[in-house]
Amino acid sequence: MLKTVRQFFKLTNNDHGFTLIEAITLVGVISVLGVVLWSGATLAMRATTDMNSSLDVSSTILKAEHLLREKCAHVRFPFWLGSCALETDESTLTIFYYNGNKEDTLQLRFEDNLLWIKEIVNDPEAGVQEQKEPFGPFEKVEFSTAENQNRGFYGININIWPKQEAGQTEEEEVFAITAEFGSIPLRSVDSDE
Amino acid sequence: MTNNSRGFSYFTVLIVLLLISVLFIGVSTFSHMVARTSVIISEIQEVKEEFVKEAERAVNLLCKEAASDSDSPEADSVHDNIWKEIRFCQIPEAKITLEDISSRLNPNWMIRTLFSKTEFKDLLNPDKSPDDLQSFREKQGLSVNINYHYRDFFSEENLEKYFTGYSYFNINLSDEFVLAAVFMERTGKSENEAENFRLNVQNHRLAQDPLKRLILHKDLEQFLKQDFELLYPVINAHPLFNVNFIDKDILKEIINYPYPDQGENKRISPTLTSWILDQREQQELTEKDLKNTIKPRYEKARIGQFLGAKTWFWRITIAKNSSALVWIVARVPENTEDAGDIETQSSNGVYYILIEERFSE
Repeated sequence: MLKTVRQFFKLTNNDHGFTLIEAITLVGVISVLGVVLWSGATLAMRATTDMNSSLDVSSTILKAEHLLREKCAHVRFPFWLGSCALETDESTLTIFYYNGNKEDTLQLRFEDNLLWIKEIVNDPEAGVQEQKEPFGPFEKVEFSTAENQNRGFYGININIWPKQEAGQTEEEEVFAITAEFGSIPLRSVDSDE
Repeated sequence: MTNNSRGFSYFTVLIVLLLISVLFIGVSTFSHMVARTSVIISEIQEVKEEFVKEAERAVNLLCKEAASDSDSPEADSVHDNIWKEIRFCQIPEAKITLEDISSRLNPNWMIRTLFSKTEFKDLLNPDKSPDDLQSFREKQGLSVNINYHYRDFFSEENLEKYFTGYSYFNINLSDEFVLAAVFMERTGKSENEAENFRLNVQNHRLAQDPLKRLILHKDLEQFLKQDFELLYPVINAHPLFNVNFIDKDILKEIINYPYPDQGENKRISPTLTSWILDQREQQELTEKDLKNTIKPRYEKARIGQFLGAKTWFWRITIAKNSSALVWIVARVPENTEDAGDIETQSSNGVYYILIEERFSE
């Protein structure tokens, strides 16, 4: 018995390397530490990704809003028109009188989860010039006219539903943008209609 | 060293920490950029709101000036109180300017004879004639963006000095085909109905009795019938130019124009130009003053459709550093009930409406 105890102490007091128990304990500690760190890192990464994606959406919508407002300010309907000149179908809104020229248009189109903001300018020398920029991905985009009793039809409203991540159960968030035209037709005197 | 289990664990921790740090730096940089963009946009918005308040103050002053209880509701001139009050801009270091932009020639409505029988023909580029301008308008339509639309007809300098895209269409002075085009745009009616409207205008202009050639404001509603509500005030019979602000070169040519209703022997005295220019330096000129001076038939003669004392379109500019807000407001002359956040109605029913806004940062 005494011999066994001596042998044990001989083993553990040995200065030349790790004992088996030390090694197992170390592996256990590293594993626990690894698991904790891994889960921590995963959580941190998920939070980062969520934050990133939320910031990305906010940033995209912010940029889209800024560009839309800038472009809509270039839409200049002559004051003598009866109403604002627009054409709309399911996914596209075409606004005439971009830069005050009847033939030049600003087009908003929602296609393949992307909102396209496109300007089409007829240059007498260079021909038709197109410039477009996509924003997204979005789940849904809706266009409507912005009007009030005082000014009548003065711009456009755009509602944007950001694309939902798989398994995301949060309530749908809608971003509403109102962009005003640079100039609007003068209302007729029967503006009570 | 890395093969040692303890050392390896430190290494793992370091790598994970490094990864988290990199991610954190990335996210914080991105969020900083988003926040910065958002701050810039909201700063721009704040500047704009400040400018808009100032522009609204100017519109309120204009409205106060047009009110029946003001010093001179019947005319707009440099002698009005608004010019003293408007100087006190509420924004430090900002500059506010107010400008009459309707007392100029408008290539959208000008008739051929106004060019061919006056020195205005010299304003046209050498290779262009009044007929070319009319054909162009019929083909290409009208535009408020005159600097671009009429760039082949007039030099940039002339367009800037003498022309505007902002003036109403006087039923007695505008080109008949232009009136028909505005009629169609405004009412949405057919080409045939627009042609009937044009023929009615033409018949009036060709009447035997010179006194019946003009459609006066009091008869306009009867003439336009059910379309009056849609067409007025875009088509009206108010004097186009304000003599208190009109450029002297334009004034001279308008006075020298051989008006058919004046008769060859009853040409308006050319001294009228210098009289108006002298008088307006000293005091405000009203329509009554013009009536008393341009005897005998100012009211029923075409010159009375050109020369008046009210400004219909104003440009308000507020500028500070590199930011500027430009508002174009139109004076709507008749009694309408509604008034809103950017329109201000005076006690006699005149109100101003914002028709164009430009903001540059």
